Amino acid sequence: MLTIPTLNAVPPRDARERVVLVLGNPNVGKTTLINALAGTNMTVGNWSGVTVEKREAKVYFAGKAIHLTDLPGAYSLSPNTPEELITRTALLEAAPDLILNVLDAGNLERNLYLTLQALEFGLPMVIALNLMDEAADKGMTVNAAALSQAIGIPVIPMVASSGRGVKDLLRFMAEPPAPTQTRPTYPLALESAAHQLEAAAQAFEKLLPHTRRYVALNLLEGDASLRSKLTITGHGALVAQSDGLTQALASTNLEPLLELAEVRYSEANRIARLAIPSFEHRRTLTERIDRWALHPYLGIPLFLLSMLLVFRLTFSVGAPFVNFIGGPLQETLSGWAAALLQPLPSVFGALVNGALIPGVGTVLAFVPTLLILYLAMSFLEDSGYMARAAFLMDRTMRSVGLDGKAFIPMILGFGCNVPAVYATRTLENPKARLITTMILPFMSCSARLPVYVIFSAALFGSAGSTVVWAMYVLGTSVALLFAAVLSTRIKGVQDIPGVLELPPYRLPSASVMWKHGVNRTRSFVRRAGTTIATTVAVVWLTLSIPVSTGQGFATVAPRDSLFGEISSALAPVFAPAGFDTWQATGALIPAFVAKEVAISTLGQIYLGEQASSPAPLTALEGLTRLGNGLLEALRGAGASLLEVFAPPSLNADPSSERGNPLTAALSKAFSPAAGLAYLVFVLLYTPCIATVGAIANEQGRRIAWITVGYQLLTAWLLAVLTFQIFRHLL
Amino acid sequence: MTRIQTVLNALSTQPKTASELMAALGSSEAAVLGILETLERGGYVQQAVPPAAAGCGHCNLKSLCRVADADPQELKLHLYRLTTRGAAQLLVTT
Ligand SMILES: Nc1nc2c(ncn2[C@@H]2O[C@H](COP(=O)(O)OP(=O)(O)OP(=O)(O)O)[C@@H](O)[C@H]2O)c(=O)[nH]1
Ligand SMILES: [Mg+2]
Repeated sequence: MLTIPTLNAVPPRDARERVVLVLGNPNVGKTTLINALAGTNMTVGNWSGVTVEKREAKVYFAGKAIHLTDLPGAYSLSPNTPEELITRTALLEAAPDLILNVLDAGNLERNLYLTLQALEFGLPMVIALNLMDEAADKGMTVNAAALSQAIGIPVIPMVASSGRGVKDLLRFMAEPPAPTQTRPTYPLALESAAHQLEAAAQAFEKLLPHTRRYVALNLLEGDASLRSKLTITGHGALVAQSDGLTQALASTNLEPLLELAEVRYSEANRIARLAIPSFEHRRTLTERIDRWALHPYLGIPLFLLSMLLVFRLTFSVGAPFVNFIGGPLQETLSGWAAALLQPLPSVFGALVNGALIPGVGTVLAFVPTLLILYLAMSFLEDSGYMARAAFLMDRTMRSVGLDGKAFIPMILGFGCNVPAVYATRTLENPKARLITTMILPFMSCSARLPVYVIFSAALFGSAGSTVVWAMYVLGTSVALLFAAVLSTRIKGVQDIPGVLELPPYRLPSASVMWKHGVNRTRSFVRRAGTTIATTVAVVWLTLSIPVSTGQGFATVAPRDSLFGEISSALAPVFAPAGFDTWQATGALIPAFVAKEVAISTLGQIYLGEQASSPAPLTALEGLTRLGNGLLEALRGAGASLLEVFAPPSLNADPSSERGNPLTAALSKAFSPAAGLAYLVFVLLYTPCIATVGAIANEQGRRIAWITVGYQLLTAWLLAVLTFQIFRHLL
Repeated sequence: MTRIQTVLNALSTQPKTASELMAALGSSEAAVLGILETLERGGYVQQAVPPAAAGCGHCNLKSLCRVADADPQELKLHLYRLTTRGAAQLLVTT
């Protein structure tokens, strides 16, 4: 609690003494200035609120003893903080001989608000225009003479920290100038209310004459701390009168607080402009970065390039871990599981080693990859760059009948399509909402990334990350293309152009990035434990049921299982796309549940058989294998950090293809062109169940079915096109 | 339009930071912050809810979202929006 001092009468003062109150915003160098003048050693610091209490220093000049009172920094005399309260109280308690108002020359407009309020006291005042050096660094030339003329009081430019200009103040302290007549003028009704209160204040002798106008204005403004102070010091009548006046003003729609603020802020703006006519606008960092980031021609290429770097980083640093988890870790776990499950019926071994470990494990192998991707994306988002991406896309989006705002759900779709569908609610226009929802599933969500990564590693070597990136670009392009088509087909009002606000750039804090990255990765892991594990079990079941008689449950060859039969029947559909094997087709079916299931299913099919009867491992053997594998992964990740900036080459480098068992199997099963076509199909075909559900929820079942249908068709057509083009090129 | 009206008007569509209001007012960021603080004191504007309280979690959109545009570690967002009082004032003056 703050004790509120009573308003004392002025103590009689020696004619050879001068009292100077040093007033100013926080951190403008008030204490530094006093130290420079009086040779004192009071604490200063480069943050606000260093001085928190009244402090005094004494200096002698021209036969006068000058008492300098250092006040805590204040932005205004309508106190918000305890420090501002102390400063205001000092001004009310006694009339100083001089108010020394210290201003930050580089931040004139804001500082002048306090100056204008202080002028209401009608006391002698001088401005110390401090921090001239910093203002010059900001590219400002502050004209002290113009400032002095505008306000009508002396202005001394200075650099308190080096003592420059400081001594010029002394003569004004010894002989204060006459008070200025310049004061802000307020609307007539407000002025007359203030005059009435000032007149009424004369009856209260404890209210010093210099404070009357200030008190009147602040009462009208509704200054709570002043009201309570006056009420408990026996000025209740004055407060009551001001309430009456405020109500009368309010009935004419005049809010004193707003009127006073309006006049003071526009005066501050006007005077600042007078004093800094040639405000040579030095570019801020944000503006300098934006000159490139928002460049009309280079902006989008730069965005694509930065995304390419993100994928290269993700791909090359994540790959060694994918190999480690998919290789040594899975083998070790299988070995241990085999040892543990030996006493149980063989069907358990088959489920764990033939399905769960290769299936779920293959998906979990991407945890490090996704973590790196999410960290990188979080960097781009938190730094403010992603907002620029949406801004850049504004023009492109408009050309397809949407606006930049619709790009926001699309960026969100890179993470997961489901929240992206719900995010379309932020679009006001129903037509824009419908179109955006329908094209969203083309945006490549993170569940598709494992599929790209493993195929790219198997088939495209060092160009892998470029292939992954190309998938994202393709998805976005197809989405935009359909937006253009749909916006001519769907009737509805054109959107009112939405305005995108650009936050300033800032360096994201590592801990925040880490938190975001881990949170998103965690939901991927959770899915692997629930949705993926369940799907894997169901796939295993269908892979274990024999179709023809004579073969037993779980011993049937995968090709002859229920799963194999259905897949084989469907496979010819994909012949023109080059991946008409039953394995490839089969993996696409359960992937409707979640797209990473394509990988877990391929893992089950290709690795299940060989993995279902692993040699049992002892704990020690397993640990050695794990240790070696991890070491190799870390070494690989470190080395690949350097590769991020190396130019990509399309020739697969066989030496770098140590890979894991699944990549080895895939490189045998797919030709590069067929693999690419497969990726295109996985990217574009039917959104996952959860997304379809979200679309049905937002736009109805009809739209959901239409979306499923047209995406399936698009995916097939483009996969065929890809294969036909690239079979000759790759 | 007066400066106060300009601010209230700009905030009526969506919450904004001082730096986003600079251009509309032709003022420095610090000066705009001063206006916002005065308006906040009068109950015309208030600072938007921190993302933790708003339940934005790890939303992908937070760097684009006006409500969540802040350091989650920091309690205040420096992002201002109109209060009902502010909205009423805007209606009265326009
Ligand atoms: N470059 C430069 N720095 C200055 C100048 N004057 C003061 N400083 C520095 O500005 C910082 C703030 O100075 P203080 O004297 O503590 O400011 P104050 O106004 O007393 O601050 P509060 O007590 O918090 O209100 C210190 O780091 C000073 O060294 C100047 O003219 N130029
Ligand atoms: Mg100080």
